[in-house]
Amino acid sequence: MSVINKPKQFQLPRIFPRPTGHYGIWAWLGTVDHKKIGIMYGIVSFFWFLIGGIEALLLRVQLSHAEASMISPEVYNQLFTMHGTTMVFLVVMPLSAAFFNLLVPLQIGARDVAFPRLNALSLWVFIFGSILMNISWFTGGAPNGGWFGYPPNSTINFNPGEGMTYWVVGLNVLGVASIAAGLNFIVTIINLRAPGMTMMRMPVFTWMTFITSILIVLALPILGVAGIQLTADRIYGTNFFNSEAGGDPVFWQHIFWLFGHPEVYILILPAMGIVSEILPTFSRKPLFGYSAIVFSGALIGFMGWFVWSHHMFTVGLGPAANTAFTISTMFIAVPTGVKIFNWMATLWGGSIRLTTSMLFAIGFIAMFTIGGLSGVTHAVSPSDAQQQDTYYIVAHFHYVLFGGAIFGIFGGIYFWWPKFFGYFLNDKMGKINFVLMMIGFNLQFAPMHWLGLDGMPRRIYTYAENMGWEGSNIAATLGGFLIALSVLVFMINVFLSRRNKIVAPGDPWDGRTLEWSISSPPPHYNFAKVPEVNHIDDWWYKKYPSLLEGAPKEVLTPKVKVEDTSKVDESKIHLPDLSYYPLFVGIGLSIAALGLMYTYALVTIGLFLVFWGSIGWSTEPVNDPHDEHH
Amino acid sequence: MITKRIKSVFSAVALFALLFVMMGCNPESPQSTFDTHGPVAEIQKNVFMFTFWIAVFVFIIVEGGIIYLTFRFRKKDDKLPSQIHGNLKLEIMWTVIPAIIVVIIAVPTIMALWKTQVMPNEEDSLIVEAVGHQWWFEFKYPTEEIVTANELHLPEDKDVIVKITSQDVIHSFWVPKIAGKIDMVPLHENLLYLHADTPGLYYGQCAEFCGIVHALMRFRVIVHSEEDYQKWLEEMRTPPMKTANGTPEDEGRKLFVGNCSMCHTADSYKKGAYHKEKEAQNSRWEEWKNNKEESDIVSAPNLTHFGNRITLGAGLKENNYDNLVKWIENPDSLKIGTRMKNHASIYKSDNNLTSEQVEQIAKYLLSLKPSNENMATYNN
Repeated sequence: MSVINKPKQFQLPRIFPRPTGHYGIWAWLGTVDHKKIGIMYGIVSFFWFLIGGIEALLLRVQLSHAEASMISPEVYNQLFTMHGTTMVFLVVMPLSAAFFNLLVPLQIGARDVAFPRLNALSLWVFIFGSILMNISWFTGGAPNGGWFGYPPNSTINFNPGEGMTYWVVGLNVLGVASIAAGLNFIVTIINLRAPGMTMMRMPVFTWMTFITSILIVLALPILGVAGIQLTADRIYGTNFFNSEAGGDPVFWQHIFWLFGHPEVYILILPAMGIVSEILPTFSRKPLFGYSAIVFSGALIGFMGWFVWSHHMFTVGLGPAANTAFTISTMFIAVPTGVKIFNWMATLWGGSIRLTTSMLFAIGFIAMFTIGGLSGVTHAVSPSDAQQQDTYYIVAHFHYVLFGGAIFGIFGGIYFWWPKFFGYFLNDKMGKINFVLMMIGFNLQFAPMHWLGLDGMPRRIYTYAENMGWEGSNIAATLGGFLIALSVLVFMINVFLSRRNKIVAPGDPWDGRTLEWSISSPPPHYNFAKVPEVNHIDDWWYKKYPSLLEGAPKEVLTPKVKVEDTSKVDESKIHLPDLSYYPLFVGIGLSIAALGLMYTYALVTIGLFLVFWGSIGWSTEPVNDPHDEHH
Repeated sequence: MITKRIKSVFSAVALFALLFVMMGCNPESPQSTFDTHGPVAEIQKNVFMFTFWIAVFVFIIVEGGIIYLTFRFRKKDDKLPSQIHGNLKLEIMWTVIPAIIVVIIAVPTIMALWKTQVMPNEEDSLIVEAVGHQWWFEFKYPTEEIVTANELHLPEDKDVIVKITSQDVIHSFWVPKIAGKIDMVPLHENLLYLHADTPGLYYGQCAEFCGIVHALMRFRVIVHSEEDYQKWLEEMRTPPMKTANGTPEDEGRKLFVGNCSMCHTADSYKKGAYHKEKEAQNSRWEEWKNNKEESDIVSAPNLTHFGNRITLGAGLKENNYDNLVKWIENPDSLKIGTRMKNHASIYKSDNNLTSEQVEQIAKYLLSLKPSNENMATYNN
């Protein structure tokens, strides 16, 4: 063996030894493994899901009857601002990111994502960014200008105090995490697919990840620009949104919604991907109209750029603009409808097993349809003049984001849990979880349609007794507590299932895609041998090759088994070493952001961490010499 | 067996749906969008209902389909079902049909949009200006040179163009029974077409989140018969009765002049007062804006003929003696965060009014009514 003598590369002196191994706290803090990163994404965003849920319950308690005074208007405004911000940026986006991380490399037959350390950076920036935003609760008041932060109400003139600065600075930090992750998954999906996996052989979840990532990379910078402008207005007294100095508050609305509408699809497309995996698995037949589902997903992502002003139908853009955005918005219903009908056709003629994840997937279609239909009534801009900023809108987007995204995500959790943890979640408790959530969800959000049509505006902390809104509000509050109960059942289920493990095999559901071809939980290197792909749902056809010749309806036994990892020679498998630099860069970024509000000393410390971390990171070799094997 | 289960699920869902419909919309609500009293709200309701019924149709097909398919194709044995990948004809069908449905909805939508958003001829219409303030509404009649607050008086069956703007943050002007909303944007003028076809009292409310007491930024629209409307105009130009020396009202007047009148104008019945109030309101705004910490001057609602108002605190409470005393004593007890409480000198500790003085001011304010007894009717 001859070792080529390379000139010795510059490396920063290490303060801490480079973490190694697969166990212990440093194995997590320094990890670059997409599965560990995915699990951490999941845990942290589930924590925020609980916080955001508690915020929602407090709102519901206050609204449960007229003229209530459980919660003061100051706190109420903070609660609804943080409920929205939390659920969008700290729950649905990172929960989707958890699924991207866990699944994409496995579904395309790769060992990891394209940039493992960048992936770790996304995670840490997200975690510290989310903490940064919530510190505001303890520093004199959380953000209180709404998750949309409309100026002038969000400017320093009308909103003194640090709350909204935390909000806008926090969003910019979180944006860094999302953009880095988006780029990572685009590159991963384009470059790391196993041999034979053409784009049109990719699992639909990976497709939706790809489309979502493109949307993230294009949309989040827009929010970033708006955020920097608002930060500058608030901290440095610039006049981007100050109309008295020639700025324009409506300009904020345009850029916010130019980000905000694609954001809606960023939130829902991953869940659509999840559902598109669950439905065929438990119907035991292929997804109906794979290419139609993929293309309609892409079309939704594309058309999502041309509809932002439907959030602004009442701003006064005039009938011509409203006509244009009415038409573009309505036509988004077409690709959405195509998806729904294709999912239904997937059920048609199937052999349906109603597992918990299948129930959630079917629930997704049922609830998302309602959200889609009420969406069409918003697109009707003349009647939207009545609905805009009322509870009818609140009902609509919860049908899309809770009945849609959250149902899809819960389905995904039950579906892939055995894959990543090696044991099943209890199916009976899962069904209780589903039924409670389904009833609670509808009890909470269906009455909000009536409330909106009866003229109840959003974001009001109280209402007069004679408005006739009390009955529906009581129902909604009860529904909220039923949802909370269902989430509690889920947590008990996780706890009990973990204690009394029922071991899951590698392919527990008779799956279709590559992640089911390896053991559960997957080995840290994923695939001992890079798989070769010949079809959509390749694993399914490897198991049942006779289906390719149009086998008659019969009982088939799988022709191949899940990879046996006991004989794998791990020394032949090369994976990058762990690194703590992403963690430090992540911490540094949030410290610097915090410093913007208080003192430049913190900014300096934070930026120092960022620079030190980045230089250490860029000069650190993928593998240290002493650790040849990994 | 299976059909029986499908039936029971269907009936359970139907029962659930019925329950929801029963608790459903409440046209009795003062802000119901279904109990319309003007062509704009009417057109908006009709196009909504049109879309709604189409949505119900699609809803039944999809939801019914999902339930049917789920039970009809439950797993019976271990045989694999036929592996269908798709069907081009079907897929084209369910692309084209939704597109056609969308076009069917789009046509009446766009017609309704132009009907409700194109302004009527300005010469034949009543022009009203509405200005949003944190957290109350200012209403001005530029031709009639009348200014008032929180209660907008309109004649029935007349085209009205409301010129809408805001002084501070973005608000939204909304009277659900008469017309859908439009935002009040600072330094920008939006136009709203209003036309009320029955006299009566209508509720309005700010619909764009505008700060701490957004929930309590409400107003009323009082629609009069043409005759009553003319009477109202007349009254707004008539001075109130003089307060007699030595009465509590008269003491209240002096206190008002000394403590309240820098921000609240109460004599806009005078000739030329309209333009004076415009300037005064602007200078109050400048005063507050340039000195937010210390200023004891803020923009405030005009109180001319306050005794005739139905509500106080921007549509918040019935305008009566008890509520008014509570309001003046401590606005926070009814509405937290008002500028009055935060800035007026009477609420600064060294300058508190006695409760007797508060009562005198309340009595004075309630006495602010036009001196001729020929009053317009404000009932429902």
